Amino acid sequence: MRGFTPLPPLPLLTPIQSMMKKKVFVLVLLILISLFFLFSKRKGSKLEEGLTAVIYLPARVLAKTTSHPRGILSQRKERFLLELERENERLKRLLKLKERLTHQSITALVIGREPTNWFNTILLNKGRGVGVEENFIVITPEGLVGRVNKVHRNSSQVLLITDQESEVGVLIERSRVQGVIQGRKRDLILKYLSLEADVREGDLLITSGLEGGLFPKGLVIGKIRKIEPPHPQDLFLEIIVTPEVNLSRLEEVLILKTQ
Amino acid sequence: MNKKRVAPLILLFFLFLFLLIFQATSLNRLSILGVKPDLLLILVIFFGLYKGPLSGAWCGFLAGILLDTFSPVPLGTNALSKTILGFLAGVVAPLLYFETPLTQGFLLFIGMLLEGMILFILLSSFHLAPPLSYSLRYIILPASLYTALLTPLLFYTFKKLNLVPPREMG
Repeated sequence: MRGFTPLPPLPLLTPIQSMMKKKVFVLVLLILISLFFLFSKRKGSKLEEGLTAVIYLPARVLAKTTSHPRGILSQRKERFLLELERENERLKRLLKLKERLTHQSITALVIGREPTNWFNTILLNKGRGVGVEENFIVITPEGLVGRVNKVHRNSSQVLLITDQESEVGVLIERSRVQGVIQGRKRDLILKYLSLEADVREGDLLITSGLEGGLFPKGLVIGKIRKIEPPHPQDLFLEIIVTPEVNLSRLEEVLILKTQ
Repeated sequence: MNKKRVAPLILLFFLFLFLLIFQATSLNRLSILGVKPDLLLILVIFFGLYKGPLSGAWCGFLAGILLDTFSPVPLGTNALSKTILGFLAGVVAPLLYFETPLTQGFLLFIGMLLEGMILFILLSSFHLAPPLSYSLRYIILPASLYTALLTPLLFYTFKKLNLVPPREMG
């Protein structure tokens, strides 16, 4: 056995194995953190509030610079005057609406939209700080926009009536037939109307005020665009409604204090 | 703290923030049939492919958390889906050639489909997801296609911004 020198002990893990282990560890850690956030029931945690404050600030600045007549996108004098005129017109109409309302209201500026494709929401520049609460109703002079579904200190999120999650009790203004509208991308679907219901294309829909007072009665929703011909097995009509408010071009809105 | 290590992180944070705000504001004017591309996922997969699984996962987590604060989803939803996608992009990168616009677009198309299914499962568990047929027809497939079409242009831009340091070992 003379001359035999024992080999040095092999490391438990080779560098590649160790690196792979580190990668898997980081992945698992990040997944666990995400799951913790997902399943922790705390609403409006400090982390979320802090992140919101950081993220919404540039969005507010951007919204103000691009939507205001003095914004960076409209430097020319004629354009500036035209924009100023349009803004003046919009605000006058909003003010007129505000004077007619029985509820107290807050004027807000749209500062952003849902960044993913899963929901139809908008972000407003008014939040808990000025008294906005969940389920307050958002309108424009043309009609109903949606309801507040998330409130932060200086901003709030509004679920538009075109969101798949949104359902509003309505009635046809002409025939007083009642139904429910649900969002479908850019349109609305009028549901639960029997095959014999008195309904015509072009009929105006207004809120019925029947979901526990969430939406006040009489707010304009939209007009019936198309009545699909029923199939033999259908129990209800399928009716497509176009919202009266152009939800893709919202700039200023009113938040109604409905509770 | 090492400035050389911190500076790219700060740049990355602001790049994600810029893309998020762009996606939530001006990008709406470019939406087709109510659908818009996911610029953040393009950046996450870009990092996964060029910098490896670790960077992909971290970028996915950061992008997801930022997105979650803007969205009505529970905090952590997009963080989870984008972490997985970023990591997977890094894992499959050594097996693929992704320097042509076609392969880049195809990779993002598959990535978007996969993320769409992960989000569908997560949102369903909170009763927030539309039915699967609706999700596929109106959200997942059109968004995947739109994102895939924009991918080569964005990959080119990210490369021009020198966002591609050497890949990690392993």
